[in-house]
Order: sequence, then structure tokens, then C-alpha cells
Amino acid sequence: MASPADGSRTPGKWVRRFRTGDPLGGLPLGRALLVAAVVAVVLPLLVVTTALTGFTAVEHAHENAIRLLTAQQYQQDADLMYATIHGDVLESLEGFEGNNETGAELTARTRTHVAQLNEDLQKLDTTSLPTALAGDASALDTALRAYGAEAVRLTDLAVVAPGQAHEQHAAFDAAFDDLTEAQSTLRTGLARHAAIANQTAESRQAAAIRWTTIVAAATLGALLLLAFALYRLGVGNEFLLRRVKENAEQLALSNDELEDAQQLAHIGSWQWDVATAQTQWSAEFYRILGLDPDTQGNHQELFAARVHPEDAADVTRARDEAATSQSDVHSEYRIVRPDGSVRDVRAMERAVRDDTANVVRLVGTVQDVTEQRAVQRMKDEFVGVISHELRTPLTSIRGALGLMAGGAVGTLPPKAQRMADVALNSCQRLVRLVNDILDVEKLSAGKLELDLELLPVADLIDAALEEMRAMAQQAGVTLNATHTDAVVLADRDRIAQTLTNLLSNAVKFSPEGGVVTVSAGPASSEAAGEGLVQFTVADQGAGIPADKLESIFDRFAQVDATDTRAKTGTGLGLPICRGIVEQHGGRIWATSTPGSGSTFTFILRAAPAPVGDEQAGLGSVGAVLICDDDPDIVEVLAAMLEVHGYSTLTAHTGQQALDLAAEQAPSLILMDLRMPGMSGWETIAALGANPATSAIPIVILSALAPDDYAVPTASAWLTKPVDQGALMGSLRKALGTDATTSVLVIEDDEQLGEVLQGFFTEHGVHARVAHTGMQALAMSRDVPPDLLVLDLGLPDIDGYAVVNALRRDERLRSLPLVVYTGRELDENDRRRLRLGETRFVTKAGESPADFERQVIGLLRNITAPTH
Amino acid sequence: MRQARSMSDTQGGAAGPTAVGTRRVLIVDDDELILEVAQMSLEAVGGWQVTTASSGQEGLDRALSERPDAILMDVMMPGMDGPTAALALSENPVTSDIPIVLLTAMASAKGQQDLSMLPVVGVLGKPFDPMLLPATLASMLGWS
Repeated sequence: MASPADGSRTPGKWVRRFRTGDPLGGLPLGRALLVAAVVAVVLPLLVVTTALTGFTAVEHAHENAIRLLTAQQYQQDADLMYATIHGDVLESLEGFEGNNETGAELTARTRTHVAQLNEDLQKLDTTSLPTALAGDASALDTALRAYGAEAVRLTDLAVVAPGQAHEQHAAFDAAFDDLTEAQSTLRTGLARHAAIANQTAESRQAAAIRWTTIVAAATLGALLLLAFALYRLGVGNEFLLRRVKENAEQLALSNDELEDAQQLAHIGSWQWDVATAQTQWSAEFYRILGLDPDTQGNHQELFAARVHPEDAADVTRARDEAATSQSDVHSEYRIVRPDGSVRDVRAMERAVRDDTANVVRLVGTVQDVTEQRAVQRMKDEFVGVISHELRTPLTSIRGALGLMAGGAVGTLPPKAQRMADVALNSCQRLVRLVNDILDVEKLSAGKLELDLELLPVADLIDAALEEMRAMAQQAGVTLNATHTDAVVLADRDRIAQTLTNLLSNAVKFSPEGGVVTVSAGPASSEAAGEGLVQFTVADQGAGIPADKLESIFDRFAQVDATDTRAKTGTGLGLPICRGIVEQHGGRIWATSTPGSGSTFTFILRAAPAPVGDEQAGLGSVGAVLICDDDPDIVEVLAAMLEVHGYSTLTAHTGQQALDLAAEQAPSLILMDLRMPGMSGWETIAALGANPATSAIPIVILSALAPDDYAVPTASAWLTKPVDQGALMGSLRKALGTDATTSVLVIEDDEQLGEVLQGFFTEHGVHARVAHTGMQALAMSRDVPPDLLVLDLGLPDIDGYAVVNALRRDERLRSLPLVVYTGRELDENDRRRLRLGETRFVTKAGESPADFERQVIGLLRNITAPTH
Repeated sequence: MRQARSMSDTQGGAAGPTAVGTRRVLIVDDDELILEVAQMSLEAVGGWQVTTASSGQEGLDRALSERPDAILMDVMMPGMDGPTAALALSENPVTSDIPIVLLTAMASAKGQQDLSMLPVVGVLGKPFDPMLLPATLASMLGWS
């Protein structure tokens, strides 16, 4: 499956591809659609408006033209009527005598014509004329009306007084001529205006048609463009859709492959989306839980129902940690399938964050490692058996050869001696090989358990030198060492193994008379202040070619296959060294100048400031006062304590002890009980009564056992003959200089065991880890710890059985105990688990800080001197 | 390791030396060849007197009847194994003061350390150097 990061990249790629084929020149989709909408609405509106405006103007122009034409018509009518009236007047004057008509009839006809003229003029008046013509028209109008009135008067006069009418006719004719002129002016004006109006109307109409056409064409073009754009957009979309589809198909395909892979590897995956709170499981995840992949229901509940109750707390803790951690969180727990079978799973979970570091979702895998575990167990068993089976015959071969070559069974002839030596050497090499193979096996399986303790570097180097001295002497090589007072937290045997491996290589490859230098000191420059200690082993041999400096740490690697000396090794020494150093969290590498030698360097973490360090602690405490009536015992005890770095004061009677205690204020008093004169009981009482001495801790060392006698106030009661370890332990404890306050962690989970061990080490407390109940019992019986930390689920006998067994042992029944479990315990459980001072800490309930406070607090209570 | 070391430091106290006469050591191992080699080593190199037993049970019986000065005992044996036999010996008042050294083919120091928690004075790994075995044992047992 694509990782979340890939998933977010892919759509981006699609968008880019789509954009390169985008007809809108990279316009975002939304904006393109907006533009399209605007174009689609505005352009037709524009067309309609243009057309409306154009045609309205055309209409106006036409109206204007029609009005003018009408006016022209009225004017022509008036002209005609005016001429007719003029005829009427002439007729009334000339043809009056010879005419059939009567004067009255003529007069009436003239009146009618004048009325018609007036009517025409009236019509002309109501026609609104252009201003340029209005004046002319109005003047003519008035003149014509006057003319009409005069014509009526003349015709009337012609009836009454024809002579008078004739006389006045000349003036009338003149007026007629004048009017003809004005009339013709108006006629021409009207004709011109009408023509202009007509022309305007026609040109407006043409313009309107032209613009409307243009705008309509433009709209059509824009719409076509828009349609094209939309079409291309559709094509782009189709492309996008096709890509999505293709990708979906691909995803489905790879999902199928993933499913197959998951099924094969027994790895299920899940993811939980923070925003939607949705959980998704792969099919294999369901199968690991023993569920059908089609199972419906709340994922949380389905899952919770399948987690082994003892591991539920671990699961919760891992999830919480994953949600806050920047890195992957690994955990292991058990699944109980609906059919009751229990599966071991290894889980990994991780928070996926966005750009602003907010958790977007949690993803995780769960791997069913049940079979793997079974195989691993078989392999371990096999290696163990092979180891035993190989060693058994090797023991007798090596023994027989050793006896022969060593001359224990009689002197051999020289050739036989040589052969016995050869056989013995090869046999020893075979033994080393078997050991190394087992080590490599353990290292590669991560099974190498380190027994970490605070070790002075000088001691480690001295021990390695001591071990190599004989070999170096034989090879004629000088061993040099420079010391440091640094202390490392390391496994003594494993670091010794590393050093002797490196030294033995160095000696092996040194020329006779060469010098091998081993030195230690603070690691140079890099990571200064980190508190690292650097060990180097330098020889003056032929050196190692630069291209081999790394590969020599590979298994069975040899710099030069022809170098016979290399063949005496197993080819596993350096890989083992690297494995050991890396297991310690350190680093190892080689540097070399061909021709003048090689240097092997490894770095280990320096121990934290030696606050509780044994030696520093002892240096600061005062003397131990030994009080016993037997001078031999006093001498032996004093020697024993001095070997361990204590200074001593000696007293042979109770009184001497009281005096010395008051004068010298020793840090501790080691007191015998049965003494002539003042007994131990009396002395202890007297010491307690004196304020100057009452605070000095007392350790009783007596042949008497505590059960038979009243126990005086004392830190510890040891019985003679005393075990040196127990004595030293009691002294350290009573003195509170207990760098080796020891905790026994009983935890079958190796990782958790290691974590707890590291936690105690940080507090300057020596912690051992037992992985099984039986181991725990053996370890506590041998050296009772100061505190037990007990996990209940153990592979052999459970925590209850361990507590039961401890209760039967007098020395162990009151050990302080911290029950550290994921189980919910009821009152009955708690009763069954009670030992000495007992606390219950649930794995889920308490934060590491709580755990720390509880356990360390308890530890401090316990180790504080009892008075 | 610390425990194992302190064990061997306590040498003097535990073994009641019977200084007179030859040391008598009982070797218990189910492998006849190893028995033979170890016996030869202790006799020829150490100059001690050796009896052997090829099972844990036989070892117990011989220890009870012979009361040797020390017992060298294999760990992995069919039937009663070394640790069980060592526990039985330490719990029986007749044999509880006989120092026991375990002999193991177990490779790891860790495994050997676990064994050192038993009531024994020391643990030796296989294969051993027969020329040095008596000296190593003597040092563990506090024999000079």
C-alpha cells in the first residue's frame, strides 16, 4: 500500500497534469465557470439592449419622417385650397354677371373653401414641426387665415359692390403673390426636412441592424468559445476521471497484492482517522484476531474483546505512546481468538502528522509471530542441545589429548608428542569455534543477555592483560597499557571477551618484538560531555588495507587468505566483538596504516557520576569497629574488611568498644554477643544510651542464631561462620553506602525487564532480572535482594507460586515486594501476594514517573538504617 | 559473577580439610569417557584418589557410603540431574558438608552463574583442561 506520504503526493501530480492540458490557460476551475456564467448571461442581454436601443431610434426617426410628410401633405392641401379660394375670388369678381350662380351661392362656396383651408391649417398646426420650420409655418398660417378672411370679405363685397371689390382686388392679388412665395419656402423646407428625416430614419435603421448583428455575432462567438471551453473542461475532467479510475484500479490491484502479502507474512494493518474517528482494518488483521473479514461491529470493541486480559494495559500504553511519540512504537502482546487459541503478536504503531505536526491518524501493523516464536524456541533448543552434544565428546577428546600431550600418561616419543600437540591445538580451536558459533547465534537472535554493572575500566584492562600475558610472552610481544579512572556500565565477562579478542588478534598479527598498546580514556571530541569511554588496542603489525577495514567485522572474513596466522582464529572474533559492543549501545571500528599497524577502537557509555559508587562511598565513610573477644576472629575480620576497602578499629571487650566508639565515632560497629565481662547485649544497650554513639549502626556477628534470644537494636544479625558476601552486603546496607542495593526484577518480557533494569541502574541500584519463576527463586535464595519487583504472568510458575515459595523461606518471607502487573487484583489476590511491605502497581494505571516514585520511595525506606 | 566469585572466596570456611592421607574425590558423570579422562586427570596430575559414579542416584549412594572429600558432578544427566543431586546432598546431614563442584557443558556464563546459586562451591565448564583441572579444583575447594 502506498504510504500516507505517497497518497498525498499522487493527487498533486494529477492536478499538475490536468493543468498542463487546460484550455483556460491555467484558470482555476471555479473562476472559469464564473467567467462562463457571466458571458452566458451578459452577452445576450447586451444583444437585446443594443437591438432595442437601435430600433427605438429607428422608430423615432420614422415617426419624425412621417410627421413631416403629413405636414407636407397638409401644407399641400392648404396650398390647393388657397389657390381654389383665389379662383373663387376671381370668379366672384369677373364671372359674376355672366355666371349662372348667384352671388350668394358664390359667397357660400368661398366660405366653405376658406373653412376647409382653415381646417387644413389647423391640421398643419397640430403637427409638431421642427423649430426651423415652426416660425415660417406659424407666419404663413396667420397670413393664410387673414387671406381667407379677406377672400370672404371680397366675395361678399363683390355681391354688394362689385366696383369696390374690383378696386380692392389688386391689393388682394399682391397679397396672394406674397403668400405664394412664403408658401413655396415652407414647402421646400418641409420637403427638405422630410427628406432628411427619412434619410436619418433609414441610416438609423441600418446602424441598428449593423450593431445588432455585430453584437449578436460577438455573443454567438463568445458562446461558442464558452461552449468550447466547457467542452475542453469536460475533456479534462474525463482525463482526470480516467486517471482516478486507473489509479483506483491500480490501488485495488496493489491492495490485493498487499492483502496477499499480509496474509503470507501474517501481518495485519489498521488505521484510525482522527477527524472521522473511523477505523479500518485489513483482512489479515481480522484473520489474526480470528474474525471473518466481513465481521460487522465497533472496531474498538471487537479488538478489546480479543486482547489477552493480562496484556490489555500494555496495548493501551503502546497506543497512548504512539499518539504522542514522534517515532514508531513497538509492542508485543497476546490475542485470544474466539476459539480460545492464543496467538503471540508483534505490533508497531505510528502517528501520521500533517504539516503543523497535528496527528491526522494512527496507523499500525500487527504481526502474528506465534509460529516464529515456536520455531525460535525449537532453534534455541536445538542450539542448546547441539552445544551440549558437541561438548560432551569434545570434553573427552580434549581431556585425553591434554593428558597425553601434557605427559600425564607417560613421556611420548618426540613425533608422538608433536602429533598430540597438533591434535590438542586443533581440538582447542574446535572448542573455541563452538563457543563462538553459540555467541554469534545469540547475538544475531538478540538473545545475548547483558549482566550490566558498574565496572572500573582499569580493572577490565588489567584482567584482559593478565589473561593475554602468557600468549604475548610466547609470541615475544610486549603488552602496554594506559589507564583511566573511568567507570563503565557494562557486562564484565562480555567486555573482557571483547578486549581479549582484540588483544589476541593484535598479538597474533604483531611481529616478534612488537608492542601492543591497550588504552582507555574519555572519547575524543565527538559527543563531548556525553560521557563516553573509548578503548583502543593498537598493534605494530602489517596493517589492514583500507577497503577491508569494515569487512573484517563480517563473519569468517580474513584480510588475506594466505595469512596462516589468521587461520588459527575462528573468523568470528571480530563479529562477536562488534555484536557485544553494539549490544552495549556502543560502536567499534578499525583504523590502520598498512605497514605500521592497526588500531581497534570501541566506545562504551560511561557510568553516570559515581554517586553511589561502591569505592567512592567507602572512601567517605569512617572506620568499622570490630568487637570480639577472640583475637583471631578480630584479625581475620579486620583483614577481610580492609581488603574491601574499609578501615578498621578493633576492640576485644565491651568496655573497649564503648570507649573507642565514643572517641573515634566509627561508622559502624560489628559486635559479637557472647563475651566475658560485659556481653554484647550489655554493650549494645550502653551504646544506645549514650547520645554520642546511639546513632552508630550495629551489625551483630555471633555464633548464636537470632531466634533463640532477645534481639537487641541492630541493623543486621549474622551468624558465624559468616559468608563474606553476606557480611559485606550487611555492612553496605547498614552504612547506607549501598551502591549494590539490589533489586530482583521478575519479568518474563525481556524488553520490559531490560527497561526496568535500566531504570534501577539510573538510580544507582543494581538490578538483576529473572525471566522465570524458578530462576527468580534460585536467585533470591542465593543472594536475597532488597526488593522484589514481580510480574504475575511468568512462563513456568506464576507470581502467586513464587510468593508462596518465598514465604516458606525464612530469609525471604519479609522481603519488600512490588507487584507490577497488568491484571486487576481483588482483595483475595492481594492477600495471596503479600510478602513483606507489599505494593501493587498496575502497568497501565501508573505513569513511569508514578512507578518511579513508588518503587524508589519504597526502596529508600527499606535501605535507610533502621534507627 | 559477583556471587560466584564470593563463593569461591569463601573456600576456607566450608571445606573441613582432612589434611592427612590422599584426597578422595567422587566424580559423577553419565559419559563414561569423560569419567575416565577426569579420573585420570585427578589421579595422574592431581595425585588424588578417585571413585566414579555414572548417574545422579549412584552419586548420592556413593557419597553417603564413601563420604569423599569433594564431589565433581556433571549437570545434565538422565534421571536425577546434577542440581537435584547437589540439593539432595546438601540437605542430607551425612553429606551436607561435602563440597560440590558442578561440571557443565552449558556455554553461557549466565547459565553457569545460575548454577552457582545452588549449594555448590563452584562451577566448571566443559571441556576442561585435564592438566589444570586438579589445580582449579583445589583452588575452589581451598585445598593447598
